[in-house]
Amino acid sequence: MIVQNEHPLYRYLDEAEIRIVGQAKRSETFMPQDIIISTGDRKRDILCIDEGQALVFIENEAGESIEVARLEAGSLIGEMNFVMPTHRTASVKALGEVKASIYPYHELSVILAQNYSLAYKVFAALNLQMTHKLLGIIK
Amino acid sequence: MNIFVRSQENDLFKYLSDADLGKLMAKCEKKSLKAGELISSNTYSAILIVLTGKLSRYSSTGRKAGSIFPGEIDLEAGLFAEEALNYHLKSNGASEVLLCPYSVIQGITEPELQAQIQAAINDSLSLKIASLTHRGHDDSPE
Repeated sequence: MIVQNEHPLYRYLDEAEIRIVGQAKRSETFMPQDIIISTGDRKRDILCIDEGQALVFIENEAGESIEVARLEAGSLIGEMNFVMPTHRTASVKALGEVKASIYPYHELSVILAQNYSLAYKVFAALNLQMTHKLLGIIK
Repeated sequence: MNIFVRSQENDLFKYLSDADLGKLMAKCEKKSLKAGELISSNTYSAILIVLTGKLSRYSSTGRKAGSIFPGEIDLEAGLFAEEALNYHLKSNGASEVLLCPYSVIQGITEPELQAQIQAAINDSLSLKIASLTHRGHDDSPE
C-alpha cells in the first residue's frame, strides 16, 4: 500500500479519497483544560488533534488523576472505541488550545460501508496506529 | 466498526464468505507445535491462527503479556511494524496453528476482501490493547 502522507487516518488515501472521508469531518476547538473525552463515555467518534497538545489521564481508586500520555498534533484519539463497542477507558483534556477534527462514528461508517477500497485503507491506517500502541505496551 | 457481519469462527477470516474462506485457507500452512516451542515474527512472516491448544505471549524481557486461545490470532502486528516484533509466542502444550503468510494478505486485490481482513485485524489489535491495558502485564500461570 502506498503511503500518501503522514496523517494518521489519511495515510494511504489520495486527494480524492481524503475529500470523501472529509465529508464526515467536523472541526472543533477546545480551550485549555477542556475535557475532550471522558472515561466511561460510550461515544465511538474518532478524533485527530490538528493543533495543540492534550493530556491522557485516568483516575486511581482515590480519585487522583494519573497522567498516562501526552498527545501532540497528528495524534488520534478514540480509535479503539471506533473499532470496539465499549466505553472510553481514559479521559483526555486540552493542555492549551486544541484544534481537533472529529469523525462521527455513524457518518464515517456509512461512508466506509459504501466504498470498500476506502474502508481497506482507513482500516489499515488504524491498524498501523494500533500496532505502534500494542508494541509500546508490550515493551 | 461494524460494517461487516461475522460469519466464520476464526478471528482472521471472521467476516469472509465461505468461498473466500476456502480460497485463503488453501494458502495457509498448518503446523504442529511441541510444548515449549517458540514462535516469533522472525521465525514466520505470517499471521498465526491457533487451532488447538494455547500459546502465551512474552515480551523481549521475558514478561508474560497474554495468552492466545483457539480461534484467536497473533503476529498480525508484523504486517504493519517496521521492525521484527518485540515479543514472541510460546506453545504451552502441544498446539496446532494455521499460518497465513503476510504475502498472502498483501496479495489480496479484491477491495471487499481487503477491507474484511483489515477490519478483522482492527478487532484483534484493539482487543489485545484493551486486555493488556486493563490487566497490565499478565503474570497468570501458563
